[in-house]
Amino acid sequence: MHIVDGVLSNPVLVSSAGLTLLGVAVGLRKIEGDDIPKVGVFSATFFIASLVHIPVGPSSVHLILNGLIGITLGWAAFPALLIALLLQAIFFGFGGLVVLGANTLNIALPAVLVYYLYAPLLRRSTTKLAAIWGFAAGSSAIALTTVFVGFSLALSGEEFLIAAKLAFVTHIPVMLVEGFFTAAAVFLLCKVKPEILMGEPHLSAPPSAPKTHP
Amino acid sequence: MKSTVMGIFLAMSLLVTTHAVAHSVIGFVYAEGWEIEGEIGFSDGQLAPPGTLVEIFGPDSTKLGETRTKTNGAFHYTATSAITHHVKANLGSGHAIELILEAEALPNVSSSPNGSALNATSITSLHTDSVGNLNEDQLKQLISEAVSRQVTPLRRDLINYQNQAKWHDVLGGIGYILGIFGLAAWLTARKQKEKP
Repeated sequence: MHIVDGVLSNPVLVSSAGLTLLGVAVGLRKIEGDDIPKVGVFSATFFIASLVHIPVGPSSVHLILNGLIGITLGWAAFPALLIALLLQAIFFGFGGLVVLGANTLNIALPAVLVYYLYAPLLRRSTTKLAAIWGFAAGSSAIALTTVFVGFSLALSGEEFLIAAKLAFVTHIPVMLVEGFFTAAAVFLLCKVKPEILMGEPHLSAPPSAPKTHP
Repeated sequence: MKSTVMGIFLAMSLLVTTHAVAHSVIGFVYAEGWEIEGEIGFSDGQLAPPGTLVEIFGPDSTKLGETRTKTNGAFHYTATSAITHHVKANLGSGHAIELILEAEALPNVSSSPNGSALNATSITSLHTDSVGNLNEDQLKQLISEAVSRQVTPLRRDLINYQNQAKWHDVLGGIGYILGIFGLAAWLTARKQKEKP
């Protein structure tokens, strides 16, 4: 998922950096004072997730978690992911500094799209249904990211269908793993701290239930 | 239901072989006389697929030639002049690498590759001859080959070691993130305090 320096053409780099800047600006405006710790925690989660390798067949995949970040943060995914990706580039050499804009766009824009697709559904679901939407959100965020990565590569000269297909097919295990992980996370959040997920009190939980306000 | 889903999941994970999911490309390049050798792979230990195109550029970005990787991710190219070589490979899906071989790693400009004293067959024949007949050039080449044989695995280990994520990097990164968001929280809190 992390495109490295020297692969994308300059127009792609510049335009995606511009769009990322726009996304970050929108994200920063949307963050309320009380949300800041939440954004920070999910930024840190993303930073770590790339180090968690899950063996799949002969290779291994690592988590990306942009679906979970999308449904919990919405537009704030842009600043959260930008910071995490910057630190990943500096500390681990994932991606690079020149392609930071493109990588942020490819990972954060699906997160925002997933937010608009699934957050309304999640808000009026029961806990079990919410977990299923969580699965859908987690896996579709990855699917969208692979399409975006394919698109960036295509605009830089690689053939779109080949690039996108390769990215998509190789990420099917990641989609499944992310789906399960996001479903589990959503399930847990619904049980213990629904307000993180919903941005507002969880409608399916009884409003005065004591366990939703630990 | 659950077991069926898990079954499908496992079956798919086994079916899909993947190289694009590993995230960083690593590799190294070195010279053995005029022969440029190198290895390309992913940070999780996978090697570049056989037949991956490796392009070689000069210091002024002119293309000098190209070669392809063999089964073990290794490639090899014969240099024609003692200049800095930039070795580039694109492994698809946004994975690319550029390796640089400095001009100093190649033999002196005075000796051209064609005039190079030895080739592989003469080395083997030399082993059966008496060693005393070696001239200085031949001896130099034998020594450099022996040294590079010893050093190559070390080089590989060193690169792998450098590419491992270290605990202090992980903790440092988390610290930075918490610091940045802590600062943001503090600034907004201060702003809100000033308002009323």
